[in-house]
Amino acid sequence: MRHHGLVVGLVLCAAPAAAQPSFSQYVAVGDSFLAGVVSESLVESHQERSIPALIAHQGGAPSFMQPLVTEPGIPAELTLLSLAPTALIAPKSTVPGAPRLFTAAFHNLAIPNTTATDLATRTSDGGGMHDLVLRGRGTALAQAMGVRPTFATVWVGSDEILSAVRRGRAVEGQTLTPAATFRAGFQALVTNLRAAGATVVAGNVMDLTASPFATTLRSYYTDPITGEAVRLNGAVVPLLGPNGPLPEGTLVTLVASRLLAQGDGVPATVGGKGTPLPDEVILDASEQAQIRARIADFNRAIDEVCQAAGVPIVDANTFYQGFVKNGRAIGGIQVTNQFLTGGFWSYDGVHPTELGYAMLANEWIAAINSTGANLAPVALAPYLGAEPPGVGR
Amino acid sequence: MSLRFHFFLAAAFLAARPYEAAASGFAQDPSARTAGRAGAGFAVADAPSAFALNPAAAGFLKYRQLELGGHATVPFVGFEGESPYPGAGGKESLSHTPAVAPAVYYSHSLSDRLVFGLGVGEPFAFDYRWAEPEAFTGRFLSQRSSLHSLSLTPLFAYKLADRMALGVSLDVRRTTFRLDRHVAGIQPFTQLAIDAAALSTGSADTTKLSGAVGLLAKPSDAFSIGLSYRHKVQASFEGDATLSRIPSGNAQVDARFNLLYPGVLAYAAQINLPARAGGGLAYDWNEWLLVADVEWTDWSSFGAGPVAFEGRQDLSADLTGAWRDVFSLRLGAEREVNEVWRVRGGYAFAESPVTRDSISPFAPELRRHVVAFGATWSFGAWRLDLANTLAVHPARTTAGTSTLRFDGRYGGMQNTFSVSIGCQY
Repeated sequence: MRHHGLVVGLVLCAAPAAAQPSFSQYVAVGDSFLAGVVSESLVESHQERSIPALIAHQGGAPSFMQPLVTEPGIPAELTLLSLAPTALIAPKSTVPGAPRLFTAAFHNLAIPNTTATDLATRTSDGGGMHDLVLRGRGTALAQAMGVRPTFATVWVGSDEILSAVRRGRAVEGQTLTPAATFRAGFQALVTNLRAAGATVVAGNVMDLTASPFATTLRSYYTDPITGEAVRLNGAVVPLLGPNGPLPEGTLVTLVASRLLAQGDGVPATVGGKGTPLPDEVILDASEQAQIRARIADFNRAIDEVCQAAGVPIVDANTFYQGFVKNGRAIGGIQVTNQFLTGGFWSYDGVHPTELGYAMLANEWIAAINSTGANLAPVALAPYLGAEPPGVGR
Repeated sequence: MSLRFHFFLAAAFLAARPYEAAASGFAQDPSARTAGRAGAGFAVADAPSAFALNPAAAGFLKYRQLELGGHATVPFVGFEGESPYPGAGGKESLSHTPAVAPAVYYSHSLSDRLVFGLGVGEPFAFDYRWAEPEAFTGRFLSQRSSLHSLSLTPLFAYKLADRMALGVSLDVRRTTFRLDRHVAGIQPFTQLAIDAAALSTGSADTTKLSGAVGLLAKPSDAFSIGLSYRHKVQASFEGDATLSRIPSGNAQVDARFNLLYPGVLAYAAQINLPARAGGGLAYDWNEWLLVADVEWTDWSSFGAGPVAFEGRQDLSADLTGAWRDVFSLRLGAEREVNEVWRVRGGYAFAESPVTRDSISPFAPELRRHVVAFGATWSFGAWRLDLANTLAVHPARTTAGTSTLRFDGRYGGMQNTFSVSIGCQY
């Protein structure tokens, strides 16, 4: 009896612990959110602080090559020129940056404005972002497999949702990728990377209809200085759309800022031209519902594919829902979903700041650590600006 | 023999279970006498201050006795940041400014059995001022947090028998609260946090009634046992906090922040000062007095949500976080050297009542190992009590769990010097 107990004890002791993933060959496959786009631009000063670059650093990856772009980026990074009387945001320069020339294989194969299907199948886009990253060496998936990855992160789907949000239109097959198409592309990415022996961690899609791009402007007229609603006879004054006054709940995208400043979409009763805003800058209730349903479709596909492949998921959507509701206080510094003063979103309203990416990187690291890794979180002080005394501010 | 055996059995039992006998937070020792025994004294009736621990102690005090004193506490607590925020590299500390508290107690024997007492003391107090508050990494949580609870305690103690007394006291508790901190704003042009405003609640106070009850028995000339309970106090504060803008150097940013941070903001806060219950043993052994106490403190009731600023959830943070009930263990010994001198010493262990994820610059309460010593110098009807208490706080890290997302390692010590002068007439 005592002998049996000893045998059981030895068997338990010999049970393998969770294997620690290796970052010796870490690849990232995804869209603009893994590429490190900030303020509309792919530029090296931000790429060096992209989510994959931060993970590679924390994981001790010996090399992590990215398709770096010189200042001011491609396209030129947006900057804030003035706050008053209204925020004025414009490119830093009329001349874009250029790709740095590398011969080595890239580890960050995330491509701005791509899709899951394109990552698995596309080799060129006629001089666009795909060519910048892929350099005629095959698809992103093929190049990722080519480095014999030991670890991979996959985050795709956000740009496919942004395609509809940014155009103010939800058209199946045009601005919205069909759910089955996304599932097939995503499955190809995850299955092949797993088959190559990589530990894979994937992220799901945030509800970007809640991003400042779609939520900063109101559907009613506001004072340009205070941002407060202007009321006539105690009631707010709805902006004008193609079908008349905008119903409550309609989202007006940041693209409308320039038009509103010129008086378009503003009723004559409050000093506007009385002309309607174009449909392209409006997301009505039906379009919002379509986009959110597609996000749910994508996330269901991500769940099912990852579950079948044993791949942990970074639940970015739940993180972002909580963030929209409560923001996130970091040592008393309140980071919120607000445009310009929130700290999370950059000047395009749809891509995070370096701080936003660092916060998201820590969500990724938490998921990565569930695979047996022990990565330290990314230090946030350099991104917040409030560094400890003696370090320099 | 039998009593001595039982006393040491009880003491050994308490000493063998230090982790069940935990914690004390920012509770204060009532006087130099009890401080010299590391706070032990539920079963001791040697001075008017004894009834601050156990109201029944007054029942054994003769004539009229007066005790005047106070204590000064100097913290030497440091903080070292950890990732993700504020990150490694910064070593900061509390200011070494002494926090002073009064201790005044009077007892008046009305008859052989009935004694009246009146006390003024601070059963709970803290005043955490971070050094270099303008640069402290936790300045957006707290630069200075202070809480004082001044108790006026009239009481009556009645001897139920020659060797047993019951005491009941009223507790008129005036609690004051203050929080100073900076408010961060995101500078739109740099997308980095800057100090946008300085917030101060000012010193708000409220007065509430509570009470305490105690029992002290002396089964023999040498052996005493005491039990005591002090009820909690719920203190609600309301007032107007001041928000003073800190110029950013950019007129457009300042114009935006002026809208976000008005000069005055209404706030409300509730702080529950905990109930305490405990028991102790005392044994007179020749020229020695040996004492042992165990006390439970209802720290889980401390704090009742955030300091809430009207209409500004973004400024309202639950700084107190989660606290837990804890036990503390105190052991003390006194020796009568001669008719003039008595010396005493003690040790106490108190677990931190703050959970690991809630420790913060607002109230960096830590586990404490307390070593105390003191002496009494008697001259006629007068006596002078002195004591020094050193509380050592082993370093404790939030280990990435801070609910306020302000991670780091706290540790250090705190020294309290107590003095009182008493007379019997």
